[in-house]
Amino acid sequence: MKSWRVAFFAVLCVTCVAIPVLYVLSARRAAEGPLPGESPLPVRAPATSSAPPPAPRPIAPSAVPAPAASLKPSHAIVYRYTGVDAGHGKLARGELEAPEAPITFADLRCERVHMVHGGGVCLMTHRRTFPVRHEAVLFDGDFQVRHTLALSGVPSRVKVSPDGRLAAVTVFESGHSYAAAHFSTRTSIIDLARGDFVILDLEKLPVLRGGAPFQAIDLNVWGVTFTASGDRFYATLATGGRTYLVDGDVAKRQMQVLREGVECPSLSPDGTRIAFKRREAGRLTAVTWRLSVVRLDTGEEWALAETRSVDDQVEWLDDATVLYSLPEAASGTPVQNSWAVPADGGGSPRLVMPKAYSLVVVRNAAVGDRGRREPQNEAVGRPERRRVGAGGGS
Amino acid sequence: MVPDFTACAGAAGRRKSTHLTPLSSLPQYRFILYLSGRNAVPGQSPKTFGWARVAPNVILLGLVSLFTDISSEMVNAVLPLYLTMILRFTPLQFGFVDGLQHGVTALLRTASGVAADKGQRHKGIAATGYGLAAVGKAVLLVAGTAPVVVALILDRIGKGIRTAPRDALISHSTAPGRVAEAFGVHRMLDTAGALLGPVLAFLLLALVPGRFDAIFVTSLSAAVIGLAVLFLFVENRRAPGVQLGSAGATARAALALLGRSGFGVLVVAGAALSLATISDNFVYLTFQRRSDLDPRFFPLLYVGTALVYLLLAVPAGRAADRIGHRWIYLAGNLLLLAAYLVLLVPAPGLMELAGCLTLLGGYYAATDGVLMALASTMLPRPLVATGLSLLTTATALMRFAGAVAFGALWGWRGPEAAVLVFAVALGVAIVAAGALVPRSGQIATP
Repeated sequence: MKSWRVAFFAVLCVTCVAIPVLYVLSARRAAEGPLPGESPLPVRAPATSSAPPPAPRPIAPSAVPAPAASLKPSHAIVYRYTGVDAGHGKLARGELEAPEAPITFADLRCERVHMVHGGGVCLMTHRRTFPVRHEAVLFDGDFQVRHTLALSGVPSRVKVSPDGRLAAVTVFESGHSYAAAHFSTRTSIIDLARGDFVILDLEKLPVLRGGAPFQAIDLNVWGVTFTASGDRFYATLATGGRTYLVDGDVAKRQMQVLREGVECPSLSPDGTRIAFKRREAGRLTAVTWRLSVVRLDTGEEWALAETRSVDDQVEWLDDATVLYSLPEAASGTPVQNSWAVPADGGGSPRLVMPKAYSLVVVRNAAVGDRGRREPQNEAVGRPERRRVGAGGGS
Repeated sequence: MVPDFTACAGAAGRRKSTHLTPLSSLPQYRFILYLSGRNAVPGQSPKTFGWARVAPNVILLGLVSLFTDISSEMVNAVLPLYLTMILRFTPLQFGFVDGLQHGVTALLRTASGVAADKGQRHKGIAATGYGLAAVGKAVLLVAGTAPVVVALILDRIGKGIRTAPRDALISHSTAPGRVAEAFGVHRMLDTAGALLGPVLAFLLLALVPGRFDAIFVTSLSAAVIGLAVLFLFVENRRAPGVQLGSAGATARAALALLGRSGFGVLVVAGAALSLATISDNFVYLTFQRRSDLDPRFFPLLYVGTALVYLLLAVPAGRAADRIGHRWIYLAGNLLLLAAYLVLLVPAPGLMELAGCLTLLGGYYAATDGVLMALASTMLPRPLVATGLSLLTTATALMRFAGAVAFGALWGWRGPEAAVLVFAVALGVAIVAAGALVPRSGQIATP
């Protein structure tokens, strides 16, 4: 009577251990990608791209700034490669709508990245440690690591100010999210040259609304975008289920509420408009976000031609086009593709870079031109130079 | 250590005046139990410690909880990442689901308690609860936004359904003199599962980055193992001495339980103490705000608390069986009060943090299982699951209300003032509970 139970239980246990082990092993094999001399393992076929790009060609860091022809300064793009192979998560560079294989960098695996020509920030997650560690890696124009700062949670957004002095980092605080069902964000501002935090937690700054103090519990701030000078910024402030666009001052250490319903703002290079995601749907069904643009002077707001829900802090390609990423399938895939859509509300979205997430348009034409010829030694630690041409297309 | 049997017999002999004394705690009845070996525990020698003292059924139920908690917590640990990275959830949606489940499970808890007592089907009802959680894990594998909400709700509903019948089963499987210890063993295994789950999840994410499906497959497997232990090995136990036909568990009987002075007072006291409880997350958050604690250590606060809970659960249970359940329960709440006071220390440092986590872990060890033990010895045997479900419904709702109140106070007057108000409230509740809560009708030091 009892013995058949024990036998059945033993068989069940073996099965229940074997299935996850086999599953993980097969997932690992899929992630390791093709080995030299082997035919590539089948990976998820891209649903959207017309021609599947070949596997990435890893190159040594010394060769980073790629052939001169691929580095048109206005369109040099750096991104996180999301293909399911050995290069997954690595920094890569390439050109929009270029059919050739992505070129991944050797060293940096970033969850999210942003930079100007003189350097930038790579948000990293070390998954092989327990508890998982998260770091902001500050790198210079040659992608050499200058500083590493510990982060308190899962990386979400990063933007570098156009002058290259400051960066703003948003993380999901893992601590808040553990037992209770609520999670919250923390946004910090970093001085890139000093390699340290300037403001540890934006939500602790005083907030004004219509001149009066705006007080609330469970305040969250995320998705910072800097003005050209880097002294001021825009960000999302959320409390009590509502989101607001705030305008902050780094030196004065205060923020004021501008308008409601703006999430993840991104300031256009000419500083006149903010692209953002507008929350569209309800509470039990999944929230969707509609990409929109608002003029800062008139407050006029319009939706863009992208009708799918976009959860991203967009990057402006130039003053007329915004770039953003979408997952390749509804769920279950780490692959993200990057798209472009006109900022005036017209046109239609087009796929500009498959398997690319967290696109950065590496601005600063002056330094970029020089970078083409002598890439190794330029644009490191010279903020004055980097200010030339700050604001990109303006 | 004095052999428990003698100790209990002596105590019950002195105190059998209370009308609530369950049949099984009467000395003559317990003696029969002991001789028959049904509910008695082997190893009466004073030197015997550890597993052998606890009924196999309790350990098996502990293992069921261990595997189920591994399964649930490994998903919970990565859920924020999964929801935000893959499914693009918002905090608001999550909060909504969280609020919803509190309401739904409150009703279900009571219903499941009544259903379990009716016909004494504790195992069957508990299995429904554990089964629902397993189904929830299977649903997660078919990802998408709606299934995640369904899976979360199923998991919570399952938890609501299974708690009362399972705790009744623990109570029915144990000699009355050792109920708190049995609950301690169960809670220890339960907490061990809750600690192992996240470790396993992060190990998996390290092995296969971004593959949440691997976590869901493993989680489902753990849930199936837990369910199998329940189905194959756990024995259903009727309340000792209860005939099937005689069990009059109805909603009316449940309400009548509250009218019984002793149990009614306990429910009110438990609810009041829960209302004055600051939830873990607010304790951690308050500490972090006041100390500028390195945010990297934030996830470790939970681990520290759980570790202390795990280590102290059994000793606290044993102490409760010897000294008296209500004293340990009240002492546990005093530990919580002490933790509040640590929070109010100016410029708290690492020592204060360690103290705070130890006090918090000790509070859980001395209250969670002990309250169930205290209640289960007060209740008429046929209605243990019903009574426990009423009690957990009341404490869960009050805990939720307490969290809302604390949040509001924090927003209004800041964290220090909120902690102070809660400390005063908890102090008053402890004094009132100490004066009013009756003994469990058994057990004292000889």
